[in-house]
Amino acid sequence: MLLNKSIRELRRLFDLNEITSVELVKEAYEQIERHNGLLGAFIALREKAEALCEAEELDKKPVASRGPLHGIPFSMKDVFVTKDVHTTAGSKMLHGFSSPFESTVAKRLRDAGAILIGKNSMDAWGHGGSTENTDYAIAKNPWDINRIPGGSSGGGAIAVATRMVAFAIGEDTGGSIRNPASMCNISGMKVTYGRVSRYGTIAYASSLDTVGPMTKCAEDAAEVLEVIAGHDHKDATSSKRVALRYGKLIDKPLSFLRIGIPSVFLAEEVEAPIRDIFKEAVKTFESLGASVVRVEIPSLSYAIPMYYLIAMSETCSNLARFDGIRFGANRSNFSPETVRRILVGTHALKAGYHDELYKRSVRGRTMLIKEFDVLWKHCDVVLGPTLPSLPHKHGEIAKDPMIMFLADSFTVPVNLTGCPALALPAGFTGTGLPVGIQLIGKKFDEETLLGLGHAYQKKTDWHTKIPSLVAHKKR
Amino acid sequence: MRAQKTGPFAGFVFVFVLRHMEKSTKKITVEDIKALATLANIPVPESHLESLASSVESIIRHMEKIMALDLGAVPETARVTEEVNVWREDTVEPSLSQNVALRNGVSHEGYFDTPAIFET
Repeated sequence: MLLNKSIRELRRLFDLNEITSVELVKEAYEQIERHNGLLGAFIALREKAEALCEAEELDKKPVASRGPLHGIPFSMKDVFVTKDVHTTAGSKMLHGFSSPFESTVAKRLRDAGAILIGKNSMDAWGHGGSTENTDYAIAKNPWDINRIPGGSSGGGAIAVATRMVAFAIGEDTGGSIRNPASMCNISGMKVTYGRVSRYGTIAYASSLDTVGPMTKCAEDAAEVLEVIAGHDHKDATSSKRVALRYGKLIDKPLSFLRIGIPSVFLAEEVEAPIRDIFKEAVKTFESLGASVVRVEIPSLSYAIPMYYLIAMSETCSNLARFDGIRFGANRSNFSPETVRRILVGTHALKAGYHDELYKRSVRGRTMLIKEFDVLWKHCDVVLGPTLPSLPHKHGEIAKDPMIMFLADSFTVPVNLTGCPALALPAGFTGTGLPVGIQLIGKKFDEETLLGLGHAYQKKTDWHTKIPSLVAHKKR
Repeated sequence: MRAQKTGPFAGFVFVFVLRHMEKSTKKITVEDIKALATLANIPVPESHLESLASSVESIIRHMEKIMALDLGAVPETARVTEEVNVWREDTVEPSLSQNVALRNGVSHEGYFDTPAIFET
């Protein structure tokens, strides 16, 4: 199967003229036809003939003039606007919305030669961690179809895990890339706030939203990040710092690294199989030459209320623009979960509660940022499980929203501080469910996370495992 | 054994809520939900009011844990971007045509068709 190969390997085969983009695109649609009906990874697909036509044109290009992602099929969470595929953000509010412009991330990838195949399933507006809160097909975990794939970028994780595409682009506000990456056994990067442009991304919570790659391995994440990172004058929060050649830098030999582990990451509330797998991962990093230090982040236990109060306050403001006049249906079309979040956010911003809820959260956020600043004096990266719990069965979260919120305990602190984090596959439970770990780094130090992740994946093979329902086609 | 209410802080949150009930905001009623829905400009069906009151209250009770955080004189952080005062040259750039700008909305004779503000 060609889509099982890394981006670098595909590039090598393209350079030797041993493969064509048409072959890759055909394989992508074959996998989609085989599995998407059951798994619900896509909300919208491009017409196959149209994608093949684009692939044929790309195949005519001489090797020297090809882009870094030449001929490679990819998909995007349905939160990025694209000119030729409708964008819904997972909500019927925007059903049939045809964007008059292209998001910067889509444009950069297509300019680099990648071929858009479709738009992935998600929790509507990013509101959820299960890809169940959607007005379209509920997505299923390819490792156990009775369980959730995680979210809110669940569709992209399924598409990569089942090799429907070579990579996907997700959006991470409180863990929406890392959470489904962990549940579906792929790698996913939450970038530093401002590292990747958000122009053309439908906002959930503007001070937390980030755009990043969802890939088979850290090496692919580096290749994709190299293309999408960098300043964009259309996004005022976009950083002017020069983006690095991440694809090249991951091979740089690792210098001696100190890995910090907050004690809460080993707390007894973390499900036992996750704790065991995490401890094994720590040993692997030690075998790579890293030293482990115990660290504390005192405000970490307040991250969930801080995050949700800020995110819900910002989302009730962002979603106010959906008035059914310039685009979208009227406001009675928001799903129950979205209505609940808008109401909680409105409460947190309301006179009489604003000081005690919203303002305390944004001040608490400053404390957390300062604690991370101190942390970096003692370690170079932080390592932890991506999630404290295993994927839930479908419907469990709907009974109690706090299950969903508490599952985000380890991912949301990263968004509050603006730091980058890389989620990596780290093993399987006895029942065959994937478990992930995350490396958290200093702002704009994606290079170290990707290098360390790549070194870990050279030593382990968890990231190469694919769900049994995926047919193995030898080439 | 899998905990149903997972999360490393679930037990702590519960103990906190018991200790700080006296500090917490008042119970969220159906009337509160109606008032919030009016502020947020969202129509909420009558049949959803009870369940929303219950779930919104449950979420807010958990989030009120933030009230126990000793903040001292810590300032606010609204954004984590390094960029400040981001400007661009005030030059005219290509933009959307009227037809394209109108195509996703309800329009009438080249204008957006908006709900009436004044009753006739």
